[in-house]
Amino acid sequence: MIFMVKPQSFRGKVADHILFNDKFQYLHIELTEPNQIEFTAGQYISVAIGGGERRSYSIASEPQLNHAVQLCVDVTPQGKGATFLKNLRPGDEVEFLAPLGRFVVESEAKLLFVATGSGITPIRSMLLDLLQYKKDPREMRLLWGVRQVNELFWLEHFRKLHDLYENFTFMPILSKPPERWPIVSGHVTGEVETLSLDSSWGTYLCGNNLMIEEVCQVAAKKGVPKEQLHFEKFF
Amino acid sequence: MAKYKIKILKDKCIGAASCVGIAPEVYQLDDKNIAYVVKEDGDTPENILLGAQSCPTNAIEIYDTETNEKIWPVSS
Repeated sequence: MIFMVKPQSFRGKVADHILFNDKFQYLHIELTEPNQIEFTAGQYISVAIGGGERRSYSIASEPQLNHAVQLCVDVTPQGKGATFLKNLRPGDEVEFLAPLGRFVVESEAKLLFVATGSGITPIRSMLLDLLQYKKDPREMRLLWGVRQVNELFWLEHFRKLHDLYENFTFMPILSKPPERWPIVSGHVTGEVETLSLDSSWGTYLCGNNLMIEEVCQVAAKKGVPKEQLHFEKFF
Repeated sequence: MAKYKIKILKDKCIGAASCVGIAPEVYQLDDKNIAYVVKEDGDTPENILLGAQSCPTNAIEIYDTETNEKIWPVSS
């Protein structure tokens, strides 16, 4: 039987809403009732979007920021959830359930994070928690794939972590790069194929389902045990 | 008699366990990390419904036992 922290209902107000680009938007929700949250990096919230419906969004912020939650959402699907979040303005009230989910960092010796698009969201929370707060010395690699250069965000943020922490490397990968793109292009799965992985690695995957399936296959072939392949599939 | 009938769509379940977090006496995960129903009246109707509503993939359907009407997910 699985025992989990029972999620509770939170209310908060939108304090900031930034359009990163046409595709991805960022929301900072300041908690009002209760005004503090405890969660584990990688978990998600279930937002009430009206009409009795809910949608799930991973938390982008680190657990140490316990008076707010930050989200990053792909709004291009234009479904009810994306439309609800897209229309939120500073001061608007949001109700959500949290914390939810089991996509959290475990005890493997080395950590490979692979994301596509807004799948970077829970991984940002994990990396901030591990690097900035826990000073975790484990080797960590982040591969983040998007299609085009204008879809990248938090780039300087991850580069700064890359520069500050010797145990962390970051590689953005574009599947449709501009001419003379100086860094890696293609798909994240192709980059994973070039890595030397073994049973000491844990993989943390979030993004489109095809990427998750392919990376799981590649990592498993390289000797990563099945129980060390962690993923969040609802993106 | 339980107020709700619960149907788990096993092919949609991704093992996120949000239902377990909300109503562990009703929902649990099997050894393949797929949700199953332990006891249909193991918690309040509100928590049973909330457990279904919190599922990120809408893998849990809730029906009114008396009328057989689908309560969740709501039709768009």
